[in-house]
Amino acid sequence: MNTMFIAVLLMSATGILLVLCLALLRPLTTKTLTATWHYRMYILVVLFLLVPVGIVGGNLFSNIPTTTNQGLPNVPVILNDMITVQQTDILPPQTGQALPQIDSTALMPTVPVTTAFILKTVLSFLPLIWLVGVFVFIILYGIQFVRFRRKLMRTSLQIDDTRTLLALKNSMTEMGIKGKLQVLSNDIIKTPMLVGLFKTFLILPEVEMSERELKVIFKHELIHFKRCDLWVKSLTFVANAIHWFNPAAYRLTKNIDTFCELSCDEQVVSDMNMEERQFYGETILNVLCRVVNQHSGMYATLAESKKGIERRLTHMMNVKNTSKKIVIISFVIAAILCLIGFAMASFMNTIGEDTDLNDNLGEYSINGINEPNQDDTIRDSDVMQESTTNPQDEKSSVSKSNTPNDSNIVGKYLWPVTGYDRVSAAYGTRMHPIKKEMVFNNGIDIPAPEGTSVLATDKGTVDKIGDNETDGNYVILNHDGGIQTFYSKLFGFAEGLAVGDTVQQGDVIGYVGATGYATGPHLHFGLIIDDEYIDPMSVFTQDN
Amino acid sequence: MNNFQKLSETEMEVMEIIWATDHPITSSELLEIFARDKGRKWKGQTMATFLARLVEKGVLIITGQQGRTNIYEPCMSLEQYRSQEAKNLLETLYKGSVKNFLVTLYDGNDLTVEEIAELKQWFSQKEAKK
Repeated sequence: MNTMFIAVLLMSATGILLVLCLALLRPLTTKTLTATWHYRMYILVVLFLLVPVGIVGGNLFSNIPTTTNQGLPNVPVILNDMITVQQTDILPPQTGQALPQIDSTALMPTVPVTTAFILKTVLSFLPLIWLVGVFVFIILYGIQFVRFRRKLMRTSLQIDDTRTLLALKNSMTEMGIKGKLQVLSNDIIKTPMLVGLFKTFLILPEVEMSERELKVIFKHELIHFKRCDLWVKSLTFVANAIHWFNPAAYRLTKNIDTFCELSCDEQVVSDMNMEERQFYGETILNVLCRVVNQHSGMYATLAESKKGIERRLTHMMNVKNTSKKIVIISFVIAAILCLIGFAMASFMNTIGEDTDLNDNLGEYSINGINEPNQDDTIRDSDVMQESTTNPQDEKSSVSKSNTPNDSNIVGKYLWPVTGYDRVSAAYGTRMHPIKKEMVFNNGIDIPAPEGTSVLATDKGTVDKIGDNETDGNYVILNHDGGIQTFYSKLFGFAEGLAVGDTVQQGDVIGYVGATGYATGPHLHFGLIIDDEYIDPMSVFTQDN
Repeated sequence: MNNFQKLSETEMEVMEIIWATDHPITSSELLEIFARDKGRKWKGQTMATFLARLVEKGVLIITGQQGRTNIYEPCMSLEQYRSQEAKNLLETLYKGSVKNFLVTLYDGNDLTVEEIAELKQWFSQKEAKK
């Protein structure tokens, strides 16, 4: 449900943007482009609200290996980043901090009751609120609609009048309409309306209408029928329900209704001369000279307020044949808007970091594993070795004579995964967006394609090689001064690597994988000083 | 009162028959009467629709069921209906003002001297009753 919610938010944002664009362009487009064009454009917006194109686009354009489920946008991460409780900055090695922040209290997954925390709790309720809103919307409008429709069908009479039936049949053949359409009359409606998605009825008001008037009314309603306008309205309703919180959705519904009618008029009069058009206008007025039916939102009707009527009449009288230039302009604008929508949706998909949400949870449980090995193999003398390849069977110990202190660490460490310096999950405590609990990441996650070489960040000896359920394949290296580095989720180890081996800084010790609890290939890298996990980013500076 | 809807001619016909028969009535009974007395053969569906409309307009009410058919009863008398109709007419045409209505009649010279006298007497009676 959370992923759905996020997808909906994205689509909503795209929708607002598109509606705004169209609104801004209106003064220009209403002069040059047809109502049919506008109607189609708004249908396009509805589609953008219903189909999460951004996800497809985001995957297409994103060249960063993703570790999340299906490349869905990481808005929760963005949100988390914005209001994270305790977190050191997510900085790529290029802009590392000069002074390491070794704060041992940061290791405890504290749950402070700060405003940030309260905010996070509230945020976690949002998807639920959204879902409830959707149901409320559907129920509210749905009940209204169902009641009205029942009343309508109960009080409608079958039309036996042969004149009317024949006129309808003729109009349908004229327009090449094959489908079934039953015509009824009703005395509670004031304007003709089309009802029913699957079994469609045309309902006429029970008033006297001349043959000519009937013909014109039929033509209008039949165009609605032919274009499947009821389906458009239903889809718009669904989109509005899903995006009930978005004011643009309501605006969109209104625009769809408006341009549905206007474009229908356009099509009706497209082959009429001035005199016929005038008659058509008068027919509209005559038929509209009644009280507007409140429930006309769900049906294709002729009913509208006075302003709407005026607009319809003036527009209809002005309908011209479109020139080639205008056709081109209309396509161009339509294409541009499409691209904007697609681009925006895709863009939003790719910003924000990928994260191993499940990973964080898994990693929380391995706290006990890295007991620094006090074997002293690393704390002895330092012997520089020439070769930088796998120190196969070198069991000789390597150690540094320098005493451990921060200044030695800084600037010395090599980034363990060359060429992939993005950190998808930083060190520290954060609210897990799906599990809804505070999770502690004791290291950093570096996404990279499976098989990428993992390098020893510094000279040291192999303390441990192993694998377990949460960490997958892992290696622990001992370095000087009670410092250890931890590499897990590995696909495999460097060939021949064994416990006790000396490795140089930059030696390959393993390969990036997705073993253990991981949703995608990445290196989970940890830094331990005096048995405590500290933020690894503190030791990577600009040079790396 | 706001929901008052005038009955159409056909609807009036049906109602008159219902008011005439003094008991709760079913659709089939009505069909029979129509066929017999008015020589009109209605379709069952048509009758059902008209009865449904009358229920919607608040003139008829379904008081029970005979198996699967409904039993209808009027929920107002003819007088009550006429009264509502008149009031509604006044509302729509004369914005509810009796005076305007009378003025139209009088200024239009539609009221005779006798009728005016009749009206005066009627008013004074009403006044006295109060």
